[in-house]
Amino acid sequence: MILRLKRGGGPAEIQALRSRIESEGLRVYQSPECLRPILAIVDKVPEALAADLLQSPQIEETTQPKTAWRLVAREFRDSRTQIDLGGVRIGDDTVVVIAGPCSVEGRDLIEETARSVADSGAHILRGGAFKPRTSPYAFQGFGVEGLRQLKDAGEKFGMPVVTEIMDAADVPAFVDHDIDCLQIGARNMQNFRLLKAVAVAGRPVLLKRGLSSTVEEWLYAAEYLAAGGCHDIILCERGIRTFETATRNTLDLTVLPLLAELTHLPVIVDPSHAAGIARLVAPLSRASIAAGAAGVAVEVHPRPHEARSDGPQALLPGELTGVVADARIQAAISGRQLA
Amino acid sequence: MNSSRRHHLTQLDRTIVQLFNERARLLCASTELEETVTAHVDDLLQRSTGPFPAEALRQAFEAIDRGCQEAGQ
Repeated sequence: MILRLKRGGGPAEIQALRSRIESEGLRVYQSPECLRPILAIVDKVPEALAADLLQSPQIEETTQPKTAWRLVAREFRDSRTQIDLGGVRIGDDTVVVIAGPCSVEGRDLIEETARSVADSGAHILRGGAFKPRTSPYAFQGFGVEGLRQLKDAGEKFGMPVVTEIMDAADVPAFVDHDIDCLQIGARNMQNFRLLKAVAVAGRPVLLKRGLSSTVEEWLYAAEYLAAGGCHDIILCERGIRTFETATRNTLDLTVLPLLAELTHLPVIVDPSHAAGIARLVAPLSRASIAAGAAGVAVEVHPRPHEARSDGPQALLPGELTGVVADARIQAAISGRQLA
Repeated sequence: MNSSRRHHLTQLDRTIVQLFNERARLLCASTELEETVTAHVDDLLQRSTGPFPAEALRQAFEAIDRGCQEAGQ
């Protein structure tokens, strides 16, 4: 049940209401909304309490969302979530471009790539230090040393960084290296211990959609983060597995307008992993922004044929510049602007 | 003009205004772009094959440039 409180209620009144609900053994969460507090009761509300709440003078409106997730439900916020990711706003009326190599492959290469990302006008640097590879014999990433190289490159060129975390035990290393945003990869979308650990890291989280996950499963994963105390969640559509084999995955742009109805969280799109083919990335980026994405995350490499992972889907630096220019135009057409 | 055409025109005009604003924002943020804009627009005008008269396009771009410069000040 979602309770929308009347404006002007003080903290003491809100706390009294929360205590009343909690005294029944129910868990209740408060929205970060400032103007009008919103409370979500995540457990089944007994009929007697529901009747009491309906009569409460503090409460303006009660709603029962059709879905079982609460904290990421659209009804839990009056406004959409806006996130400050190392100084870059996500989820307002702007469009962001996240770019970088699939893997951090060494200090020189990540700096060379970061320079081209910054020159292109993209906003956030990405790169994998811990790599979840299908084959155990494939390059697994440089681990903590990769985090250091990525962060250094981001600082050198004035960009916040996002990178994937695979193990709850690594949270301190990510925080120590001041990684601006922790990415939960597609394969770990339902690694609930990892979600709980990342939720308390105090950093924005980029949550990729699982390879074969439904929208409902994806939003439940986001609910784990929110229930753990993380409000700064960015959803990332990266293609789903279908019968189609012509592309690496099938980019499901259907979710963009759908998620705008279901959740207050911003959604970005990763067309690189969706297509697996570099030449498809630019048109898919345009389509994503046109369909309402808060941004795109694309892979770029100065020499894709030498990349240690996912070279075929990596843009050349010049192509990235084109993607950013297209993003600017698409954003303007939809009444937004580049971040 | 029927209502659907009027709607299309409104949408197009809204988009044109949004693109003007984005162009001004870009120019405001990048001083070094200014020198290359004229040559770039000349090239665009030569390649334009649509029904909009080239001279009118040139005047439109001159007006846009003035607007962008005012926005920059």
